[in-house]
Amino acid sequence: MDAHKLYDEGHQWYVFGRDPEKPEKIIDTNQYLIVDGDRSILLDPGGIEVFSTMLASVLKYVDIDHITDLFASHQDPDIISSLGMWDQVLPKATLHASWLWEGFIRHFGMDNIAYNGIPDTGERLTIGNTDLEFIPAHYLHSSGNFHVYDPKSKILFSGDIGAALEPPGMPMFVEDFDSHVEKMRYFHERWMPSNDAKMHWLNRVRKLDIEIMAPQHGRLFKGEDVNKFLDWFEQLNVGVATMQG
Amino acid sequence: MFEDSSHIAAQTAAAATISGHLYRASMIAKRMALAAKNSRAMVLRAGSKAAGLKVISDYFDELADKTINLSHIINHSAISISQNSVKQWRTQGFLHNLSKCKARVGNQKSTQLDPAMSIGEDSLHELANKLQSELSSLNDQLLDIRQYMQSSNVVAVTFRLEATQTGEFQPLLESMANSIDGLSNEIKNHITFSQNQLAQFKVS
Repeated sequence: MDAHKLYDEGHQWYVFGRDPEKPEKIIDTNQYLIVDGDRSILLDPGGIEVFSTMLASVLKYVDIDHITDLFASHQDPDIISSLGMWDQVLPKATLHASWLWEGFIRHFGMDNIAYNGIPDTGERLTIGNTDLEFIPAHYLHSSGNFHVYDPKSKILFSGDIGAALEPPGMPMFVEDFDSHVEKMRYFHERWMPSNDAKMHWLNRVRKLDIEIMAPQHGRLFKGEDVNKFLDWFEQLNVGVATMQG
Repeated sequence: MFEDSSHIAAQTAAAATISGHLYRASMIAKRMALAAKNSRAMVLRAGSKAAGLKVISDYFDELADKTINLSHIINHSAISISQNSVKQWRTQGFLHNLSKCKARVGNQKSTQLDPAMSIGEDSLHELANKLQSELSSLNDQLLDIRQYMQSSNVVAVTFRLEATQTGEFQPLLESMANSIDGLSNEIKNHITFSQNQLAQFKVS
């Protein structure tokens, strides 16, 4: 599994992905790790199929006792079906996810880890000296959905927003936004259900100072490509399944 | 190092299958209890000619009730075994993944995973011990029901013999004895099937 350091000024952001060992038919995912001193949080730690690779990758950068928190943007299997495994290696950790999904997420197995249900309006969390904001992204695509914004590094973890469906081995960052658009179009048209929810999110996110937008699938957006993405997403008509046939 | 997960999966399925068969056995036992109550009514109608059958029909009734109760208890045991198997299956999956991870990381990081490995292995050992005791008790309970059904077959023969003394009631009482006998055999088939399933369990 590839790992890239995204930020390293006082605290660190890492992205893990492009796993060559993952079974062919499961969707490739990006997992993120934020480390500040002896605390760290894993964002969307991934499915059960990538657990062992993910754990081995993470341990290259942090000691196991220092993984104190997990975050799940929503309840999907590619996000958090590994929970039953993390629960046994990180029995003292806390999982942060929408209050809406607690009873559902627990089906993945959670005997030890504590659950912090994030209220619909969002919440702040401090990891070491780093303040993180859980930004509401409800209905994009899940009915209880959050993103993570770090004002210091100016990184927005945007869950499924910005995701692209591409063959394995693609670069970590968008290199040519115009040609990347077609790799994102169907995903957003089909997986994102509501134009209202989209506008709500855009209004909220446009107020943030974002240097890197980091989705859970596909490539990351940097600098001007972030605004290009927001503009493109704004004009995109989503929820297309109900408009067909 | 770890038991094959496909074996644990088969074990989980076997426990669930036993539970299903014992549920069906308990339904048959209910029909048997009804048949036993009918035979008792018939014996009362036959009066003094069938005085010897009263004790036998009471015995049938008692056997049916015991079978129903034991089936319920066994059903709970089988569900508990199934749950235990799922926990073992999950813990084995965890240990398997952890081993893969340990093989990837260096020695220093690998030792950080030792406590989790040890807890997982202890938990697996505990689950295996619990499974051993649950299997042993399930096996005893299945033998008890088999014993009840064998008694029921024997008593059905005596019932038929006694019925020959009841004149015009003989065909009806014989038919009841046949019905109870048939139901006992159906239950025995479910028990045999469950015992065969139980043989799939391998306790380390």
